[in-house]
Amino acid sequence: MEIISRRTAACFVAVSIILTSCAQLLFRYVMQHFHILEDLSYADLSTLIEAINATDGWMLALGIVLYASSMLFWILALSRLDVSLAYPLLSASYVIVYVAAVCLPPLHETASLSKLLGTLVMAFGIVIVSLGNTQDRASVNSARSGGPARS
Amino acid sequence: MDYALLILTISLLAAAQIVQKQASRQFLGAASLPRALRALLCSKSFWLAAVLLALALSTWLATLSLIEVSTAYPLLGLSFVLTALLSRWLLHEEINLRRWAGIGLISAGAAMMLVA
Repeated sequence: MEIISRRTAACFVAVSIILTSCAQLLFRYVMQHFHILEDLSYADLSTLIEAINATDGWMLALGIVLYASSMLFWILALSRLDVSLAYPLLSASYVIVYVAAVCLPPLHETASLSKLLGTLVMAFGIVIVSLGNTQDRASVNSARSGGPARS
Repeated sequence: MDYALLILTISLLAAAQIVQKQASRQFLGAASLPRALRALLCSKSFWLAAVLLALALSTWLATLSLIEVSTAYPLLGLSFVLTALLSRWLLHEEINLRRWAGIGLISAGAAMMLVA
């Protein structure tokens, strides 16, 4: 008897993706206050830490907590799923972060055609990977009745 | 040297996935979730994975100081391909043509997003 079912594992992949995306967006929000992201180097890292104010520090800490929890959900999910299935799905966070960064007013990044095309190609790849899983057909079929992520 | 750092980053990311898979074995056949979580936090593979991820972040930041993001980031998409190869060789996972095609599309999409 396993601790979690494959279906729960698939949900945990989704949870992990959402946690990672939120952490990434928090990091972006904090980092946009410093216009040094383009040439961030080791030397700048200590200056960066000194320059962080209380609110940014709080958000940065929250981001780190979200990242750590994402890792726990990730490992739980991996206990039931192939790495070669789950890891490609993690790329969904690129899509989420891109859409959120363009849509959310505090981040307000500019959209571009090549980024949009890249996002669509990636999303297509994610769909193909998640549908191309031939193992454990029985649980796939049982999860088919409305599961958020089939695997 | 700069591209060596990038290749190191990609390798560390892929290795971290394989080690996390090893760590996840703590959950197989465990009596309860709290007990399994305790076993996970006491396992070497969990902390090795954490170290690999921290190292990957460091080498990534170092890479960014040497190579432009628009060049470096698309190549990071290669980590999807390398992880798939490693999971096939080391974990003996079966990867069908469809999964390979999806992984290829994701890498290509990652490249397109960041060449902008």
